[in-house]
Amino acid sequence: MRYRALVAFPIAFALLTAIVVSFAPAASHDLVFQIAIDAAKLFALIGLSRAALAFEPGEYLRRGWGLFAFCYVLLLARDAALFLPAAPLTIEIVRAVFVTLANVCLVTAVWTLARAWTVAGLEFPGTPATRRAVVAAAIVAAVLLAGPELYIDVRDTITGKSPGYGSIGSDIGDILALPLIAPVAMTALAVRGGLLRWTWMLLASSFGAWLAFDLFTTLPELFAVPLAPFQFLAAEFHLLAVSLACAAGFAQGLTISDETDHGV
Amino acid sequence: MSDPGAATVAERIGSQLARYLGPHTARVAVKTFAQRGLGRGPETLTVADVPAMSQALRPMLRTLVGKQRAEVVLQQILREFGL
Repeated sequence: MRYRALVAFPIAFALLTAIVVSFAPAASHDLVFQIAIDAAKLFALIGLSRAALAFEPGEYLRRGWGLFAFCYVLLLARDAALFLPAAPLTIEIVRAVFVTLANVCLVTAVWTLARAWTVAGLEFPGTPATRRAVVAAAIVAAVLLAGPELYIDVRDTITGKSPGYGSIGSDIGDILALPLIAPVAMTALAVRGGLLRWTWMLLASSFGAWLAFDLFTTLPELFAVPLAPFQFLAAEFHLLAVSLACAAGFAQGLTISDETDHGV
Repeated sequence: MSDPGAATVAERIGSQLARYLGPHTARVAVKTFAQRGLGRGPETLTVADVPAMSQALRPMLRTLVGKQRAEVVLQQILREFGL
């Protein structure tokens, strides 16, 4: 029941936010989403810290989950920097530093988590050719979905259309981290039927939601499509991605804690 | 020719691991670590091999579920065989 509740939480949170947004005046939609996403980041920080602290100091996955949690400390600090009593350019630089550091943490964390299976001495399911094909597909998807956004942000920064240093760091982080969805998804597939499946399934779903977020962010930049529905979908998948990471952290903590001997 | 009793040892170890790793990976883990730790296939395992198997499985379990939970699982494996 507790694992199923963890799966239900991100979906319920995203649905609840969508309902609130649908009843709120159009001018406040961004604010509602921002509050929901910041709340989700705070929950993710707690969930991922729970996962890290379930392992003892020096254990392999403590480093991965710990770095993942620290990424959310930096992302929350980036958001809090908006309230600094400083010039807009200074705030933008501070935010860019935080988001770049957060992405370094994220890429390292995801790399660490993605390698857990190999570090444990196990092989992923499927033939080597199948595994290579899955990794190649994930790389192509990450480049196709996050690449255009990087191009647009670099172009806008160079032309001075908008200061996008933080966005560039985030885009590079996406391109490096999102292909790692492949080993995470293969781990989830490998542990199907076991308690660890909840953690790895939720983590893989989180990365899947990030891919969808990139898709809905990029499409309006490339094609003449109505902006509002895509902004709504991008915000919903942003919320889902962060909430799913939170749930994955709690699932990892549950699996390791003594309380998990009863109930799914 | 395989010994049905020995195959049961591998299956019984696997069933303890399956709770966390799932049945597929549990079977793969028993096979992998029987070969790495004991230099033999899982079909050759006997009850006398169980302590050595639990030693061989320990690093893998510690990586995936942490030291405390790994020790609980290994104790469950030993208890399964009355060890």
